[in-house]
Amino acid sequence: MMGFHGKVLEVNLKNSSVREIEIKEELIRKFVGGCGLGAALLYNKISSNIPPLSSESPIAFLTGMFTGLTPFSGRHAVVGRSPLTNLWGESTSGGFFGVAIKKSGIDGIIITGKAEKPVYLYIANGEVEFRNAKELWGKNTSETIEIINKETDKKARVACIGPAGENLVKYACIVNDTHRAAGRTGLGALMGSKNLKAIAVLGEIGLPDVADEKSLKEYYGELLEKVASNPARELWHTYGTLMYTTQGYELGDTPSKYFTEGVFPAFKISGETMLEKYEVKSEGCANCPVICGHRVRGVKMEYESVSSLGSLCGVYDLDVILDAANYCNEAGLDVISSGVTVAFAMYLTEKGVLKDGIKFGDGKALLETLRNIVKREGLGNILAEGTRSAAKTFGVDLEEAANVKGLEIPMHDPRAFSMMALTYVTSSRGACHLHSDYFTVDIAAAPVPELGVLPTNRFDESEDKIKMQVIHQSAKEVWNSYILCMLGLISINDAAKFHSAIIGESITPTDIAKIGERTYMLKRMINIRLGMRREDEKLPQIVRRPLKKGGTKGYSPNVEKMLDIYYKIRGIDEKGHPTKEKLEELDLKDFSL
Amino acid sequence: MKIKILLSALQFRNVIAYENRCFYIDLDDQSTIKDAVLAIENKIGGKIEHYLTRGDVKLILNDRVIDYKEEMLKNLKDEDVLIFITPLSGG
Repeated sequence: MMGFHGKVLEVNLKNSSVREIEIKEELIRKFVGGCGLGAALLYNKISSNIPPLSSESPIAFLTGMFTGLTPFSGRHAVVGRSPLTNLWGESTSGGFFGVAIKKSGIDGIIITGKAEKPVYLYIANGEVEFRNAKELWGKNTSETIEIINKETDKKARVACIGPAGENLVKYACIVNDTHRAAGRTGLGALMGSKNLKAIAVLGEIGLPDVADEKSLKEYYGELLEKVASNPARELWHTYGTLMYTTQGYELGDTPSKYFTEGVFPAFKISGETMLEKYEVKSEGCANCPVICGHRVRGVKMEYESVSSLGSLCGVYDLDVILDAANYCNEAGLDVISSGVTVAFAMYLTEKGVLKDGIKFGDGKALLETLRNIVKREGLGNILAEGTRSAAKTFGVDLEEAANVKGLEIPMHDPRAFSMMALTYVTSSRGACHLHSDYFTVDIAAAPVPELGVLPTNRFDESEDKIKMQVIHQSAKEVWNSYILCMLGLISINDAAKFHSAIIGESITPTDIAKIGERTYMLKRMINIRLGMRREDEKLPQIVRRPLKKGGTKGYSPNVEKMLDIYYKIRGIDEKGHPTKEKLEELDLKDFSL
Repeated sequence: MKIKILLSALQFRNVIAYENRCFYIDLDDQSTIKDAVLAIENKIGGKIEHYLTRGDVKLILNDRVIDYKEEMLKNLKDEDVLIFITPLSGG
């Protein structure tokens, strides 16, 4: 099979067994790889009567069609049932782990069962070893990776959990290659529930064959040249995502004080200030011509970390933010959900709900609360369950909990871009800023003219705009199936050319959007089977209340109205279910609801 | 007429400090977007138009990104807001 080895390993930790699952070409044709393939493979393994943290609940690590073969493809996907949302969970991560899997002669790993005692898997060129992880349990992520590299092979690539995953914090992440993370939806807790500390992979077999190697090389070279001459490359390399803090602030996109204020000292926590104040080192992923990752004072930093642990908590001391981000990376906490949950507690203190609680701007309290979340002590134990659950425990109106379907809202305020509000309520994994990252269209960072997706007024809620969002959301679904970086220097035309060269058939941008539509619908069907209803597709009031000051200009998205239009365009009925006609059109009739 | 200007783009840091990025300019009626850009260059004493023509910096006119090359001769009106941003996303 072109672009794939055609096999995924299924590992059962209960009886230490391994079996090969053949990946049929038909499945690749329909779902491409990565998260799409994961949804298809796990469709019958995830159900409402298998709780996410039970031993039968599966977790899968997958590569995509492009992994290792194209620029921007140094990523892997992790999928399963989210313990945070109880719905479909997926997250991708950069680094070298994905390419190592692909080079080890397999396309992915599905893990079921629970080991009796802590273990880690060492997969050397497709052969699985179960190793004792007793001495690793309790260790942070960097130390874990260092020890495993000593015990196995220094060339092995490691993905692991920290103490947060071990203690089943509902938004624990999985860290690989030190400080790269599959951050969202709490899949680190799934690993913890299985007593699985880490997976180490040594890949020396090589990448799979492709149909048209000559064209693939040619397109690879063309894209490298295009990227090299793009002025954005230098900015990405210099600042990475950190550059967005001041740009987002201007439009009201960067939130502060638990989404309640639109004016704050953004420059204090900007990429520019970090570059001036600290030693900053660049760090890239496999197959990347940009190298946008940044270690600031030794800590891997991104825009989402700065905003969630900084401005959202009213903290503008960069040293504190760096300490908090470092702690999250080492303990294995998703920075977004961590920041939102701590900020929620600060907000409740301000509202008088929490007596003597933690206050906005208190950096010491931020760090202490993060530690208590990981240790599950006191208030931390309540916050470890996520914002929605904490609101229920505190007896607070759920409209005050900044989440959608249980997943905390990321650092793109839905009052800054109408289509981000629609994206948050309709995304398969809850409040997701990547599927689609529509704000990149409206600031002209990454429009998709090939599919007619162009920048318009950022507050527009018209049917024409929603049509563009649907197309964009579908196309971006496939980014997690190829698995490509989201930073926008590879166009959908480029992706179509690579796809065509790999499989030896002509693929167009429209074909990609159709594959994405199918993938989106399959994930929706999984969510419906897990109990999702239309009522769950809503934006809480905390992020709908108009802000008096700042770049959102008092805008409040009318999500209900947009959702009605969205459902009609997508072929979804009033209950939120795909219509029979749509399922036939998308060739999804083999997947029953 | 008064036009509000926000020079937020990262590329402008060498010509204007962040804390000075927001100001108003006075323009004659019927002035165009290009007139505004030239007035800004005069005010800050630095060239910025080439960033717009190359597309490295985007211009947001009242909540909508405009194509500078295509719309530079469009007339502005009193209280319009022009935000100059670096069009790159943020994680």
